[in-house]
Formats: sequence, structure tokens, C-alpha cells
Amino acid sequence: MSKKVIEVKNVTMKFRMSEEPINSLKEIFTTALSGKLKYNEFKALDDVSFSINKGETLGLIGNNGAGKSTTLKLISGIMKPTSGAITTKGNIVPMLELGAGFDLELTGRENIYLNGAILGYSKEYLESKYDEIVDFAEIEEFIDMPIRNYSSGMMARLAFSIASVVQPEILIVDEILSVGDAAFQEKSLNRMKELMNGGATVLFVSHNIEKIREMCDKVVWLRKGKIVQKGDVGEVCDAYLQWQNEKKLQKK
Amino acid sequence: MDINKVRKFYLIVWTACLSAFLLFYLIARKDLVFTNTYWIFVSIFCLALFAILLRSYLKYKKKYIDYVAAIVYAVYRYGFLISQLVSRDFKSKYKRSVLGVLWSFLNPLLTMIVQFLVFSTIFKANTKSYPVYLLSGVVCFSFFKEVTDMCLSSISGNANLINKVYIPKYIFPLARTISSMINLGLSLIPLILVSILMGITLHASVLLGIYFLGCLIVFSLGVGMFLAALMVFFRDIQFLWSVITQVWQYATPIFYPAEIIPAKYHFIILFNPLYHFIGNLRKCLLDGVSPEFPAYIYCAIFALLSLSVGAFVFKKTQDKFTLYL
Repeated sequence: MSKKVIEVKNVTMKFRMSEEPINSLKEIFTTALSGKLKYNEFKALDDVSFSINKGETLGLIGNNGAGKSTTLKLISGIMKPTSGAITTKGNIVPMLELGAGFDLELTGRENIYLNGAILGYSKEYLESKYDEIVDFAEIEEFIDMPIRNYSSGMMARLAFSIASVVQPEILIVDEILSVGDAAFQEKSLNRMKELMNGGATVLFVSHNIEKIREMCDKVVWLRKGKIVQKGDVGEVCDAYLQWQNEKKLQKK
Repeated sequence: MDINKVRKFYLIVWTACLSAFLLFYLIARKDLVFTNTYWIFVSIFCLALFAILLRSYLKYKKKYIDYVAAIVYAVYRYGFLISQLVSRDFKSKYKRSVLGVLWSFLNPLLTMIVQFLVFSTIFKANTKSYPVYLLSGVVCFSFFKEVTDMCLSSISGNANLINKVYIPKYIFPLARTISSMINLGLSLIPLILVSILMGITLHASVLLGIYFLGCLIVFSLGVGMFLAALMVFFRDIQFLWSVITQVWQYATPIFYPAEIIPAKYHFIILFNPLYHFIGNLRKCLLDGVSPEFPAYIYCAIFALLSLSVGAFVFKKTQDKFTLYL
């Protein structure tokens, strides 16, 4: 019996979207007075349940708007579900967006500490890993320069190095393997594989079915907030590709 | 959590408590600042705080985490993040400005000089050491304004972070308040310098002013958290708030003496917390005596009421923040 590290149980996430966004006092008064406060309820996730065991890599697939990113945000604790429960065990490193909280006015060095603190690393840890981060990002000579002078590739490399320097128990990845030039992409892909082989439990979102097949043990296919199929990689991926082809044919 | 580090935290707070107690004891004995037996109340307060901490520590050792221990844990867990955010605020605020951190000294001083030039002929006669009177008001009010303005945008301005990484959301208003506190500390230096230049003898009662500054800080944090939560749902608040602060500024005796307000409107300033904080601070600084005992209670009530309302509203609404940002 292996241990469940992430368990998602009957999770439903509803967004209330007013027909026109109400953002000011005047609007809320006028709409409330006229009784026109209408909400469109939108279910981003509808009764979704799955679990991931320790050390497993689970892929999430589905078209745009299927609820993949919402699932990742719920698991990393950024949002709370409308109903249902999510339990996680261990420290989570969400790679949803790299370089969250980078301050353009600060230098690379200062941003390593700032971004690291935001990701929840301790000061001692960052100090011990500082050289490794700089080496991996290959930006040694620019480290004391404000990052507004960096190229976008340099910034992305720095962000990836900070995010991937830890040995997390749970890693959440939202399609970020395409960072930097070809050489760095290969390097970062290797780093990801290293992290996965290091015993981390991984939740992986990608539109690239080949990569999913290569890296994942299990797959969950979402469509309009509901699970269509979950289980073995080969089966689910085949079904998904078949469904996509059928849809293409229908359009024609 | 590492027990040694926790012990260190408790130790620091204990020492602070005890030294405050000793300090007040000494002041009470030597300087007769407390004309009556007020120092007894202060000592009781310090000892009570000490006892609460001791109880929480003993509970913690038995693996039971109460409110106090939760706060200590938050300081331990998020202290590094808060310090990083504070230093970010500071660095990006003064980056690319020539005088840099000097502006923290210059700003209140220049505001004071402008107001002095404008109002001195009107109010000078009936206010002793008017520049100090003015500067103490300016320093306090601009702190309040800075904290509330910064907290106001602390959640909506960090939307990209809040939507991408999990961080307890109270960190943002707290970090902004702490960076303003550093500014406040820096602007106290010109206040003290001007006081000395004006020939005011600094009594030990100046130390009591720290209590009222503390109340001002807690009060501002409470208002700030309330505004930060509100701002997420109604963006109009930012414009409304700048009007409110302006009215508040004129309703507070900053550049005029409180006595010029007609008696029938006097009740208004009695409900103005800033009047109490600033007024009592001036008493400590200018008159060299401790305010009456009820003043301490009033200020504490204002501060704690504001913080609890602010924190309550913030806590109730924080799960919805991501849906509106």
C-alpha cells in the first residue's frame, strides 16, 4: 500500500460572475436598488475526485477552460474550493508562474532572496544554495544589475533556477518547460526529471501529449470541469487523442 | 519547528517585557513622572503580559499551540519573507533618487516648515514651542496617512503574487506597516533634534510617548487591513479615502491648538483617535509629564478596537480575494 500524498475529494469550484463586473460603490448601489444584481454561476470544477500516491507523477490533460489551472491553484492553496476537501502532505512547490514577485528595480541577487522568501525558503537555505542558483541560471556577471536590464530569457532562467533549487515533496508544474534557448530547455528538462526521480510527487499539466506519455504514471482527463477518464497513461491519452480527432472531423 | 529557535523568540519577548517593567519602575521612582501610583498599573500590565507568555510557552512544550504560540510561529515562519518585502519596499522606493533615505528625514521637516510659515503668525501666540507642536503632529499624521495609503493597495497591488503563490494574505498589509514604521522611526530623529534646538528639556516622560506611538501604529494597521480588504471589492475606496484623510487631517489639531475648537463641537475631537494619540504624545514631549491614567486606557481601546475590526473583516473576506482580483 502506498501513501496518498494528494487527495482531492468531491471538489466543486464555483465562480460567481456578474454579467457586468461590479467594481465600484455606485454600481453596487444602483444594481442592488434596482434588484438587478444577477450572477451567472460558472462551475470551473464539478465533483472532481482523484488522488496521487507518493512518488507518482500525475498528468492533467484537457482543452482550454477544462479546469486544469483551477485544480492546480486549489491544490497549492491559492484558492479554496466551494465544496469538497483537498488534503496534501508535505511541502508544495508550485511552478505556476515563474518569477512571481520579481521586482524590476532590484538586482538579480536581491531578487533571488525576495523570490525565494516568497516561495517559502528559509534564509539559511537560500544562502547555502545561492551559488547553485546563479550557476544554473548562467547569469553570474549580471547578478548585481537591476533586472529591468535583463533580457526576458535571462529573467526566465533565473526564475526557473530559484524555483527548481529545492527538493520538494510535491511539485506542481504548469507547462513551463519551454524556458530560454534550446540548450537551457534541455538543461531544465533534465532538472525536472531529476526532481521527479528524487522521490517527489508531481502534478503535471501539459498540452503536449508526447511529454505526458513520457513523464507520467497516471493521467486525469478533464473536460468542462468534469473528469472524463482517469487511470493508465496509454489508455487515457489514446482516448483523448481520439476524441480530439473526432472533434476535428466534425468541424470539417 | 525547531524548539531552540522558539525558545529564543520567547526569551527575547520576555526580556523586552522585563526591561519595560524595570524601566517604568525606575522612571516612577526617580523622575516622579507618574504623579500618582500609575506605575503600579503599568507594572501589573507588564507582569500580566509576562505571565501570558510564560503560560503559552509551557503549553507549547506540551505540544499544545495557543494563540500566542501561533503568533510566535508566524513570526518565525514568515519573518524572513516579511523582512524581504520590507527591504523591497524600501529599496524600490528610494532607488534612482539622489538623496535616497534622506527623504525620510526631509519630508516631515519640509512639510513642517511650510505649515510653520503659513500658520505661525496665527497660532504662535497661544502655543508654546510651536515648531515642535507642529512637527509632532505632522510626523504622526503623515505616518497614519502613509500606512493607510500603502495598506489600501497592498492586496490589489500584489494581485499577480496572490494569484500565483500561496502566502498568508495578512503578510502584505503587515509588511507595508512595518516599512512605514521604519520611516516613522527615522522621522523621529528630526523631531528630537528640533525639540532640543527649541530648548525643550527632554524628560523621562518622552519614553512614555512610545506607548502612544505604539497605539498609533496598531490603530493604523487596523484601519489599513480594513481598507485593504474593502479595496478588493470596491475600487472606489481609493478615491474616497483620499478625501476622508483630508477631512480627517483638518479635523485633527495638527497645526492649530485644540482649544480653538468651539466647546459645542468639542465632542467631535473626543471621538477622534488621532487627537488622543497626538495630544498625549505632545504632553509627554512638551510638558514633560505623563498624561492622566484614563488616557492610556482610551488609547488602548481605540487601537485594539480598530485592529480587531480590521482583522475580523480581513479574515472573513480573505478567501474571496482571489475571485475578485
